[in-house]
Amino acid sequence: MNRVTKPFLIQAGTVLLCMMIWEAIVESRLLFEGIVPSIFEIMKAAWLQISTGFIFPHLLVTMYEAFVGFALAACLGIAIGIALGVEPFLRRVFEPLILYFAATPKIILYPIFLMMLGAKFESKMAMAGVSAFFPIVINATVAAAGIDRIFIKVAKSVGASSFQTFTRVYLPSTLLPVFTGMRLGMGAAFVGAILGELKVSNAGLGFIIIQAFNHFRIPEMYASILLTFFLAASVNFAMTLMSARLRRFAY
Amino acid sequence: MKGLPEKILRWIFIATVLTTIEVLVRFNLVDRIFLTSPSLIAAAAWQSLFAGDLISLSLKTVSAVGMAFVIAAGIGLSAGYVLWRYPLFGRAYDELLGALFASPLILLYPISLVILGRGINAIIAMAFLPGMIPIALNTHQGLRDVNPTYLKAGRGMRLTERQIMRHVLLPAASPLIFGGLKLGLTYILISVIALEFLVEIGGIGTLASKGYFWFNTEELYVGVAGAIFLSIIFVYLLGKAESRLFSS
Amino acid sequence: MKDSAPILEIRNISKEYPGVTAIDNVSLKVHQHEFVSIIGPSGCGKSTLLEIIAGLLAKTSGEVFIKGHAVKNTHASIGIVFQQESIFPWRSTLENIEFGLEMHGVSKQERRNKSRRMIEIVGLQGFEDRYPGELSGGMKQRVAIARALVMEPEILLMDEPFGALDEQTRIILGEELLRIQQEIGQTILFVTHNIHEAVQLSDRVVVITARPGKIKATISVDIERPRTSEVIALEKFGKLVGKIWMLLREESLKGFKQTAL
Repeated sequence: MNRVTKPFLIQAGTVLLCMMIWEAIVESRLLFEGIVPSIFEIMKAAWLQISTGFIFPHLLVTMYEAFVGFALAACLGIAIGIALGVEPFLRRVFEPLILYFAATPKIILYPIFLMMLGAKFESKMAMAGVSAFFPIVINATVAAAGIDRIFIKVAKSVGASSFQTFTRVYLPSTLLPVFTGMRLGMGAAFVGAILGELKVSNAGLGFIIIQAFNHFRIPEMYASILLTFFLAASVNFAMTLMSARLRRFAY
Repeated sequence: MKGLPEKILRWIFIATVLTTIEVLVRFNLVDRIFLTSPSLIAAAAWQSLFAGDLISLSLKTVSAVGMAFVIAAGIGLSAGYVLWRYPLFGRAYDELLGALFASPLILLYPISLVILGRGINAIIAMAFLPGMIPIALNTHQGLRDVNPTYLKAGRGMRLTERQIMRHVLLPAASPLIFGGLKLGLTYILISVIALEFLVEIGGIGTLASKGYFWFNTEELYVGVAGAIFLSIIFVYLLGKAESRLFSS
Repeated sequence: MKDSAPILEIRNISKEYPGVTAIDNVSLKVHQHEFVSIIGPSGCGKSTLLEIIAGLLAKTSGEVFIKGHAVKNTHASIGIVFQQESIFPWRSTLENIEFGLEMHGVSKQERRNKSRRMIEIVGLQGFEDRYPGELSGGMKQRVAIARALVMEPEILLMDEPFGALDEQTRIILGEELLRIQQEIGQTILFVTHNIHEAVQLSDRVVVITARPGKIKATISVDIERPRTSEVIALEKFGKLVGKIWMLLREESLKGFKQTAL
């Protein structure tokens, strides 16, 4: 057995073991009766949500909120990040502020968004936006600051214009780390939007989770959470694939 | 004084932002229901401080963070050691834990509420996971990445395994281990405040939520500012501790 | 040849940083097809001097002349090769070599042709489409040299180009550099801290003092060309190395004291 398969078997075994313990607890009816449904029940509820099409409008709402927030955060975050990275003085002034705010719970700002933007989509977009902004701006700053000065000297020594230096040196050498920030930001945007929905909303994945919770429809709640995790994992996976693609243009 | 102009400019920036808000509110350029002025927030916070709410709510948050952190550090550090001791499991579980950490763990909180009830236990349980994982991963990585030449040097001087652990491995791995503890504590704090806000079971995070639902704009902003202030103090103290411990 | 006008002349160059004089009034003439090395203790400002000549760094005073014309900025007749890895990791060997031509809007066909020829000259055939991550240190520096040479500079400035390589690779690449110079006929100004390398490659070796950098002496290397690395075995070679070390020894000791401060 080689280096790859053995850890994989351990991982698969662990997941399987956890599922068996889960089932054993459910079947024994000793613990958590009625609040931990069996895996089959959860799967059934999840399938029902998909096959009836019940989940799709909510999925679209959440994705819409997350993508809009993410797009705004990406534009702002990349622009600010590169500006800070290129200009060391600005970086020293503003980076500590950004790092401090990055470590605060963004959801606490949600009531402000609710008041200013209302209880509909806009307040969740704002949540998604602030959540996504920090990983993006931090990664962009580090990426732009980390460009090896020698590359810029080389460009200058062959007489490249500043536009050429930007497109042929800055862009390719920051592409991957910036994209990593965007991947993290996308994850954060989803969490931000869903947390907003969990608190106050009338549509979206967070809304159906909290509805199921409030009405004590336990299997449905688990199913919605499971599907949400699945969505988050798919988006993350898709962006990882994209960054592998980008590797051809960057390094 | 290195970095002085940066510091001054930073404070000027903060002061400008606050003053702008103050002016906007004072001259009724925005609706006071939406936005209130920093001075009014400060006044409300001052009152709340005397009434004792702000302190007791903060203490509640800090104690929840403390409990979650003790559990996360205990389990995380030992898990990291075990992962290092058994490299095969280390490799397998590094990936599993990494995947778990990248997933939106906080969305599991309704499950935690259902199982543990609407109380501090549910919050601690939910804050534990994102706190424990970086501690375990960093401890593992710190021990694993110790320069093997150091170990050879230790064996060359005929140290016992215990001596090598105490005098070589731990000091060499400590910056990364501390980094893990720092990250873990930050995540725990974020999770605790977020959950207090979402579930409204006391603590500084609840204040903002209550303020919103009762249309009490000052209380809302005291809650928001208090939560941000508390996290900033944590991050500041952690940074200070880190630079004191690992000044080189 | 020494009587003809110099292709590169620097006159009274000084560079001051706040509180430190890096270069103090350095003048130097380099003639066409000459290979001149600048050698000095670390921190003596030799790389600074090279970057000033390349137009990458502003000087405090003095002037740089190329073929009698004063120049201030980067100049088409000057190419530069750095010590650090400077080839772009996101471009293949061929794309790296084409970089400068691309910046000047040279057509794709012409870029290809010129670069392919350069790849042959520096001996990188078969590695055209490899990325820097797949190349050894010696090959990376070949790419960097080709990238500078493809612009057909009359003067090539080299800032410790083989400094990061092991001794044997360094000697072999030095030998190839001389062969390339023979083939293309450019003028080379070469910064190094390696005495053997300076003697192996140069017509003249300029010894720079510890900070502030001044010219201490100029040694002519009277070993005939074309040379191979076998010159290392000559008795003359050892004597020249010894002579340069005697000049450098005092400066190196001074340099150590400066860095200890």
